[in-house]
Amino acid sequence: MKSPATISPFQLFFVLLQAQIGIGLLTIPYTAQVGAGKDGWISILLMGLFVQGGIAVAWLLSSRFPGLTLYEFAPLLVGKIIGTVLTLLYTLFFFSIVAHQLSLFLSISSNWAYPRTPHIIYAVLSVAVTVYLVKENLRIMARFLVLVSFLLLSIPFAILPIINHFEIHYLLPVASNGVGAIMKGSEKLVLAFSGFELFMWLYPFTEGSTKAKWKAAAGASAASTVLYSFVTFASYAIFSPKEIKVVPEPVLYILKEVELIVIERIDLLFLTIWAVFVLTTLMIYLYMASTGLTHLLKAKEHRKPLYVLAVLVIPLAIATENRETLAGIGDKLNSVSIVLLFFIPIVLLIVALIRKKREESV
Amino acid sequence: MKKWIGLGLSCLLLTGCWDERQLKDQNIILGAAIDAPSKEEITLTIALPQPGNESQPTTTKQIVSATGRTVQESISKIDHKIGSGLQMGKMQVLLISKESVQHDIYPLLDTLYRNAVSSLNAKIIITEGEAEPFFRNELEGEPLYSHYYNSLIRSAEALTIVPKTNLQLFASPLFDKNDGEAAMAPLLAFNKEEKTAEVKGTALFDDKHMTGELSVAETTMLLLMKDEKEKEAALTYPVEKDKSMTIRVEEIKRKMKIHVPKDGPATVDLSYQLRYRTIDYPPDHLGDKKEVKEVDKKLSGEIKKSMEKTMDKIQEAHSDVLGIGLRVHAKDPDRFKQLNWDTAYPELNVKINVKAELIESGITF
Amino acid sequence: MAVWRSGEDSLFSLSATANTKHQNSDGGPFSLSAAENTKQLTALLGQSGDLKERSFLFKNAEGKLLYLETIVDSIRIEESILRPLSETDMQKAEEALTVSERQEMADSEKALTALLQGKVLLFFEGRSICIACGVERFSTRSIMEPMNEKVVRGAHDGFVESLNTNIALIRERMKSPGLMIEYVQLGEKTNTRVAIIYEKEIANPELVEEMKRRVNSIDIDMMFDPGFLEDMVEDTTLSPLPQVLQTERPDRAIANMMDGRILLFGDGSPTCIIMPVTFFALYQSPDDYNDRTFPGSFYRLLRFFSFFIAILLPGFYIAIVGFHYEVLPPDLILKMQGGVQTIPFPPIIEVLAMEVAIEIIREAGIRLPTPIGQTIGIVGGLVIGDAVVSAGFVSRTTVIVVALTAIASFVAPSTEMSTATRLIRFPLMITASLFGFYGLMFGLMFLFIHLCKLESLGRPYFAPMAPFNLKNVLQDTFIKQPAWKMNTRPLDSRPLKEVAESDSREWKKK
Repeated sequence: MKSPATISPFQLFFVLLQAQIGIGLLTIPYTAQVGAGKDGWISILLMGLFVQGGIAVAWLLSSRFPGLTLYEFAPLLVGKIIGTVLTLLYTLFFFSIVAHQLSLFLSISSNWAYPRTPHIIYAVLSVAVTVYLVKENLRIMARFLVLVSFLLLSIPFAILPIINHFEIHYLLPVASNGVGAIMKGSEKLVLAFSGFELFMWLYPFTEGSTKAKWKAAAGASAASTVLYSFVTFASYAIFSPKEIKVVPEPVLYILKEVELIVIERIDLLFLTIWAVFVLTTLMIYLYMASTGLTHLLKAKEHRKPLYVLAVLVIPLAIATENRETLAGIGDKLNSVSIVLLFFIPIVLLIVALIRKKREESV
Repeated sequence: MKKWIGLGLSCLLLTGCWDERQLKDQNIILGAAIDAPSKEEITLTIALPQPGNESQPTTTKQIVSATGRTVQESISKIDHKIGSGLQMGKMQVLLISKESVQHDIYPLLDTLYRNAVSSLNAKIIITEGEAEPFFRNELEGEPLYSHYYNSLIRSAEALTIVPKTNLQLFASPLFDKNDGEAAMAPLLAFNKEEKTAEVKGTALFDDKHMTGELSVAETTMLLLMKDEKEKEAALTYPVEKDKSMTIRVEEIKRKMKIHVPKDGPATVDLSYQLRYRTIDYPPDHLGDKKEVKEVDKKLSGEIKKSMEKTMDKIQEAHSDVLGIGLRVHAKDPDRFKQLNWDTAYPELNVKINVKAELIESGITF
Repeated sequence: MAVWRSGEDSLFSLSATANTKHQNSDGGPFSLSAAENTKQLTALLGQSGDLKERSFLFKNAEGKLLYLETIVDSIRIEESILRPLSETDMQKAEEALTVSERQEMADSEKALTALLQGKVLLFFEGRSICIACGVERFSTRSIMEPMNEKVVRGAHDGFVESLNTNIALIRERMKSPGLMIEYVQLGEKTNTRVAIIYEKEIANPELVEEMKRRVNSIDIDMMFDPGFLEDMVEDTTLSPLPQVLQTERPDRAIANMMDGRILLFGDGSPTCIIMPVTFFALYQSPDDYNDRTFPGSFYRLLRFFSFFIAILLPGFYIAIVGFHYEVLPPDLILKMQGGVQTIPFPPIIEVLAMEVAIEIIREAGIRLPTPIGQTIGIVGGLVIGDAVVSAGFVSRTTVIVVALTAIASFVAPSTEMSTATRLIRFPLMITASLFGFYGLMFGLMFLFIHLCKLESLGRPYFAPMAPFNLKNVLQDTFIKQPAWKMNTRPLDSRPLKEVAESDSREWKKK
């Protein structure tokens, strides 16, 4: 099954980074404050720590099976039936993340700049551009994902002009809402941080020492944690704690007033750049879902399953335009992701430790 | 198969450009005025610009007003009068009459915050008297009202005589009645004889309505107290009998100490270090060191006096523009809740200390 | 073909025994009679008018000379073949001949090819071979600077239509024993010589093998334009971007060869095809290396900036005027609105019409002789541009945008790249007119994904950006480091020897 296309740890870093940074870039300040109030940025840092733990688990697990993805080593640990069920679960999870992110993307786009374009148009375009890349192998995908990561540099540049409007006192006193609130804030953020789990699938396709791979994965999550908490910090320093409750996409909102010499309304440009990050997330998850389906169907290559999934995701993504419904689905996915991202890998690791399974012993 | 996919995609593309808004068809509004004498009666006045070309400059084409129950209703009523849809996306100034902000200002602004197209860097201006005449009256030598008001406010901001604000910055205080800074906006009056508008000072807000105003000199003082000196800030004080001097503040440093005892009222210590340059000094003898010290001392006293006066005024207006409440909350949120800032703020004991220092007397002594 | 080859040996041995009795008219080995042999070849050539046959005597034996008079140098026949043969004391004809290139041939097939290449064939009575002497007349123009790749400083020579001269130009600059030149005969009818040239100590053998494989699989009647060759060996022909570098400059060709790339020459064309190349190599001009580091880097950056202007500016303009005018400051908007208000067309039509007009003017300018071409440029550019604005069909801003775009597209130092940029902007204009900034974003994503997928001779085309290689990016991609800093070759062509320079400025350390 192992395709010869491998990636370097450097590329792995950016693939995981792009998988994590998506919709969340705009919405995470709002999501974080729901539970933690003005201390949401601490929740993000805390969540970043949890994710580091998750990566450690994934790394321990994968380094026991250096040539196998989770789809392949799960049956060895828990038997064929449960293994298949797990593969199915993860495939469904990846697929629903694609659908959910796509529909959020459509709804935010239509709210901010394109209210009259039917959702299906952008859904089809997004899926088309996604498929155009995903039908290639992992190496070409990684090349592209590294390339678009240069756009990440635009985030600090966009926020720089308004830095003198920061009101640090909105954030003080730090952690006044208590540890409980911060934990509660973190709990909502699992979905925004999802992407690190892909480490367990990309591990066998990455060249280099196990340590280098771990560094890349941990570094990617650390980078997205820093980025997320930076934009969150900026949003909380601009908006008062009560105001932020009514602004679901504060990052765009704070950019509305930015005036550069020849260009104003940076939010429109930033929305466009953010769309690229969303699309890269879609690409990676669609790739994962299609390899999962390939595995389930025991197909030779991922292209045909990819086309099937791509066609299926469009009606799902445009099924609802209602923000509340989408948020509800998001909450459910969030709860599911706690299980899939943390719980199952830990269980698998424990099983592996108890049964002393390694790839060589199989 | 590939051909069919391509064909399908191009069909999608051909069906049209839904969100297209051709620039040539738009009525781009650069300024609007709102009069809302009562809550359900909002009169919106807009000035339609006539875009210029190489042979003629941009001018005002038309002034249109309409009254509705919400701002959006007024907008659509204006739409009925003019050809194409109004575009608020490039609004530069928003004039609101003083009368309208005696009650809640938020309903007048909500649509601007709610719609993604609106521009949040528009200057918000409170007008003495009705706002509509600001667009109806004749302006001397200015073809574009909104442009004039915008540049007036911008230059006033640079001179530190009006607070720097826009719709975005104005919003945060509106949402935070209890623990935020209070909002401020420039105050403008129309001078019919000279056919110009004139900066009158600052409108102070408590929560969402206007509660007081400051003169131009007091505004400068307040901004210095807020440590928000812009490019220039000039102050004029009497120095001898019949003689006044004008100084330019070069640098101001603020130290704010807040004491929140577990019981009893909070106190604030404000100490300022101010470095200035004389730009107008009729007595003309600053070569003498002793003399300079004398002037420094005198000025420190004068500035302190006007700061205290300004402080009294903002406390009277219940307008926490210095953001003291925010700091108290940051320091001790529990105590802040206990204090009931609404009543505690006017009672607040503020001690002000000023030390002025001459650094430059110009090219003569 | 393969079947024929494997059977060749047995066929040869079989006919060798029978050849005295039986003359086959379609090739085969020669007989002992000179007259018969020439007759055989004359028959094969179908009595071509310029085929000349001349008899001579050598040691009392009759000999025959066969050549195509149009492509041989008759003076050299006189001086280095006929005169030596008649004056010599030597016993063997081979020793008497004073031509530098001669070859014995026993097969009429091979001899025919040699004849067509301009060789003179010598037949001797009683010998079943012929001697092919190289006295070709080369009709070449003089070496000039290529018109489409002018540089301000640096070498001013260019390749010409003769393969030998071109190789000479390369040899003159590269006196390396590693310089490999391999010939392949292509074109069933044209019999064009194609040379694959590389530096064997640098070029990756896998790439050389791949190149040979591709060239050898070409099966075509006619091969004399580089465009044919390019189409045959390019990885993806249905792409707007060229994956080979075409140049007529020896310095550029050699510089690329020294980066481990492979050159491809076809006889009869002054254009050298270089593979594998990267997108960025197409933006390097010899001027950069003749310039100092700062100006070199500045103009390099300017070129990439122009690339983005050339593909994006019209689309960006359409997106702003049609969708997002909010991004402009108010004063500018009112000015632009004043310009477009009276225009009866949507911006896409305006821009498309003007772009097409400029392309027509450009195309007309190339076809016409230089003085008229210039007139057309002035009439087209200035008169039409001005008239179309004052008539109110197109706004001034559109004219500025289109003109700037056109000029920016010509900045690319490779003609193919400049055509490519001009083509890429059309789809981007259309998506921008449909979806505004999102349209541009989707268009650019397709473009960059395509760039990441593209390969040139199996090597990534968008290197060193994708896959990313910081060292190469900083060395000679967007900027140009001083020569002593370019220690290693770019990695995209996987050179065998990475080090290109070391410690050239060691004197400074003392």
